[in-house]
Amino acid sequence: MQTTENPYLQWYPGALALARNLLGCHASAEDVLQTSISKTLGSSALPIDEAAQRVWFFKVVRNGCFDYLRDQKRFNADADIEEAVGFSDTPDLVDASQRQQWVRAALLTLSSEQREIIVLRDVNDLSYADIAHILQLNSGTVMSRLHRARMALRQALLMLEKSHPVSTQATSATSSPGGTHE
Amino acid sequence: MNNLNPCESVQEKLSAYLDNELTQQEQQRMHVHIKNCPECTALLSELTALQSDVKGTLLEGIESMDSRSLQAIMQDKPARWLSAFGWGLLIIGALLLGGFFVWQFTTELLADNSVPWWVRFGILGFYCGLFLLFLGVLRQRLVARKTDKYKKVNI
Ligand SMILES: [Zn+2]
Repeated sequence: MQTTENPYLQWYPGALALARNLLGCHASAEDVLQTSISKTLGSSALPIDEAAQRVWFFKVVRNGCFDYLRDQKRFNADADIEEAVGFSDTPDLVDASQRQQWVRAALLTLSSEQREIIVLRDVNDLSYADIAHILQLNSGTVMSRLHRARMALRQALLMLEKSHPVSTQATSATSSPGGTHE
Repeated sequence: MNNLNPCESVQEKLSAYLDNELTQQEQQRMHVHIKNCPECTALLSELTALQSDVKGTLLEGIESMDSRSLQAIMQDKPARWLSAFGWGLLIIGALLLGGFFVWQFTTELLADNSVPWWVRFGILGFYCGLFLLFLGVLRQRLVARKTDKYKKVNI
């Protein structure tokens, strides 16, 4: 990432994770990211300091996602999106641990509003003030929405673990017969 | 049972505590309570684990795709310039050709004395009108596109 001089590229992975969670489609998430990056190449009125650049970039990515969804006319079709976020579109999911599969599945039970704020904080380490800027909320709302989202995610994970109690043991035991895991 | 209320108010702010987003005073007060409360300690460690699990899960597999995508973006830039250049040439060519034929057509029409003058001007007016309508639509489209882009960047 150091090979390029575009400062926005350092936020690419986290922003891609955000776009994937908003769009539920890996290919269109990459399209939105490419468009966003190309805006950083062309625009002359970019913020100068890094913190502001970051907030600006995430705003652009987020708006890009919403524009995309609007174009696709599936703004409220959460069900469609969630189907797509799921398992069909994730080729590397075979490698993911059971825990990661559950986290993915649990995230899908949240609203996209809740997913979005979790991704902004936990994947991108943005401060509450920055998140407040990006989502156009006040910091108090960010705090309570994030906490409720995390509690909902925790609840969803607990439910998943309760409904599949043995499968972890089974998969981890068969996948590493040498016993070198953990 | 009177232990329930402080826990509730602590747990409400547990995420903010975890994210180090409280004032120093509040952070300290939370710390004192959590140290002495197994239930809040358990929830805190659960939320902490969840946080890193989410990060690990959502960034999983992005790194490799990342370098490929960056390459694509870098290669995309000259491609976009080329296509802009191509469109520019195409439009200039079309305008020149169109201008040439319009000029030919009008001079021929105006010089043709076998047709009455008012028919000639009628035909000319008809074509001019069509051309102006076309320009109007084109302008509308361009303006819409521009303001659209502007919105995307600045909201
Ligand atoms: Zn407590």
